Amino acid sequence: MSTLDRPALRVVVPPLVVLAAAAPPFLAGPYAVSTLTQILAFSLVVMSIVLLMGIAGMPTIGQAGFFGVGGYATGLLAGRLTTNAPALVGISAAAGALVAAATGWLLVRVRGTYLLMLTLAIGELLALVAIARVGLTGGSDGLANIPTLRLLPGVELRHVAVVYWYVAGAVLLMAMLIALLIRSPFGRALRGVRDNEPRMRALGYSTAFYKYAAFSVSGAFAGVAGSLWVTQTLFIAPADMGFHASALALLALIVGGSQSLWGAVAGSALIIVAQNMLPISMQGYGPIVLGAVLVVVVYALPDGFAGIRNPLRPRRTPASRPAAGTDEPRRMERV
Amino acid sequence: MSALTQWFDANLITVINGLAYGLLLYTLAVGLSLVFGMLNLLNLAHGTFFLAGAYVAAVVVAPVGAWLSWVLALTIALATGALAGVGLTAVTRPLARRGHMAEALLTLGISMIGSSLLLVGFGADVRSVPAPAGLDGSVSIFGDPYPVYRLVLIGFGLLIAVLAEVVLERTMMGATVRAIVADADIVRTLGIDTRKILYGVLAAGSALAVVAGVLGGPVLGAGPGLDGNVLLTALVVVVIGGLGSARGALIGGLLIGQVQTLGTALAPAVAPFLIFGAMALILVVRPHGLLGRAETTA
Repeated sequence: MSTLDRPALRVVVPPLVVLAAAAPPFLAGPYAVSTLTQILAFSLVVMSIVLLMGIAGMPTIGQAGFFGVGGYATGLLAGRLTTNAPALVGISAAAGALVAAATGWLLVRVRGTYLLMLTLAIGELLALVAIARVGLTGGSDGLANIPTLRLLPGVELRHVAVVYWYVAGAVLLMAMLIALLIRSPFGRALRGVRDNEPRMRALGYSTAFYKYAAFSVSGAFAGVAGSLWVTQTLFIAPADMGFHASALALLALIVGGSQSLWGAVAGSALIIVAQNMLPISMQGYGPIVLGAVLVVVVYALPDGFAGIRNPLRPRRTPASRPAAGTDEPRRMERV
Repeated sequence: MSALTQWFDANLITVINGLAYGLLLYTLAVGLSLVFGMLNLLNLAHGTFFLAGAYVAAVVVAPVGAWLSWVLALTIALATGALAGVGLTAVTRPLARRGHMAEALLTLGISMIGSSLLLVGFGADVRSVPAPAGLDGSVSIFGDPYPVYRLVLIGFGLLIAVLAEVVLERTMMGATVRAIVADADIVRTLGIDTRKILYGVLAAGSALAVVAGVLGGPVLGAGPGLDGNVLLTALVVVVIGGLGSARGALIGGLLIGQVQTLGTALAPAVAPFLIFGAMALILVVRPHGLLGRAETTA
């Protein structure tokens, strides 16, 4: 669908991506590397919104809630059950999916702005659970004292470079999974639901089931993102899962381009850098810069950063997509 | 029945507080709802308008505290709000074809810039806003002292509710507004210039938001973060009532006013859950809000 359509690129690009992803600890200082780690972990939440909003057409402003579920699952179990990071990722994915599945049946009934507001309510309620259960979660102060996790017995995720490689590898793996999911029949059915739900229903698809499944799956990915985030920060607070965090994730999605996984990373980079650096160096002007970027992007880049990518290729519009889920072969896009 | 009367006796003041707060929410939310209904524009700068109004009250009313300065503050609020609304219409119109996400994000960007400028201009401290002289006393309600200003809020809110009802339901202009909410294209084919009405409604809605800020100043204060809180609450009100419905905003405002104040008084531990819980509950039963129609959500 993207540049990977060309056979030569298909062979060359993946190793290059892995190389580029592995390089930063050799090139940059510890602060930059840990910022990159945060960007990658955050971008996985944004990718989970790509799946939900860009592909399935369900706008959400509560995704940070499931990020928080995964983060708290990892943080709480790290001291009690296991410090094995991949196991905790699995548990966090299950926790995110379970909570999303428990709330998703409400969401398939509503659409548009009402859906946006209902996801907002779910995210806020999840954050409030974390605030209210002070004894377990530390309340609004957050959950500190999370022990350092281990990748394997004996391999501690303590050094910034090791943590970075672990998070980068995990995010790369998850991004590949999401990309596969988007291209699978399931992903094409989701696009069909997005573009023309009544038609999909007429074709015999249970659209409510597909939406429900998309919501649960994206909850799982958000949970994984929370786990990876906590692996790096060893801290999580209700503020990381409330409205503000969800709004930032949505911003990253729009700035990046709502259907692009690369765009999700680019958008996350902008948001995390603006969050981390501007308030200190520019005395609180971060939100102004972010707001100005948003205004510029909305006017100048209708498809976000992802829209800049390929000036030579004719732009696809959502309306010109074939209705997915029919047996129509993938559209030829090469010029 | 006696249990009920006892309950009312114990909670009467809270209920009246809720009424005042609910009508303030209505004043803020009615513009948001109509603007969405007509332009399909989710104006996320609405909370910033409210905060600007609260700061107007803090600057104009606080030093003097006189009656006239309050009227002056309200006038300034009306004028700046209307101007801001016209400006907002002008910047969002070019994006109308791109769907409501692009417009909502533009207003989000504008609100981030606006709120930061307010923070730079007025500092991070929360400013208290006094009620204007003559309205800052209290009266006795069934033996309990009660601040006059909150009764003024109730009066103001009811006045605006009645005005909105009369204008929307009894005038030709109101009929046009309702028709645009229902189907703007048909209205255009009838030869009516919808642009003037769009500008007018966004100007009026924004002016009401700034006025609500001036009115709410003495109750809520003025400080960073207030804009986001009132925006969220107003969105909940609008969604509960049904997007595009003025009456729905009234019902939603009154409901959330009670839920918030009674909740805080009776069950402080779960109070923050309640307004979102109430919204979730209502959306489960009525996916388009209490008075909303399916068409407005497309």
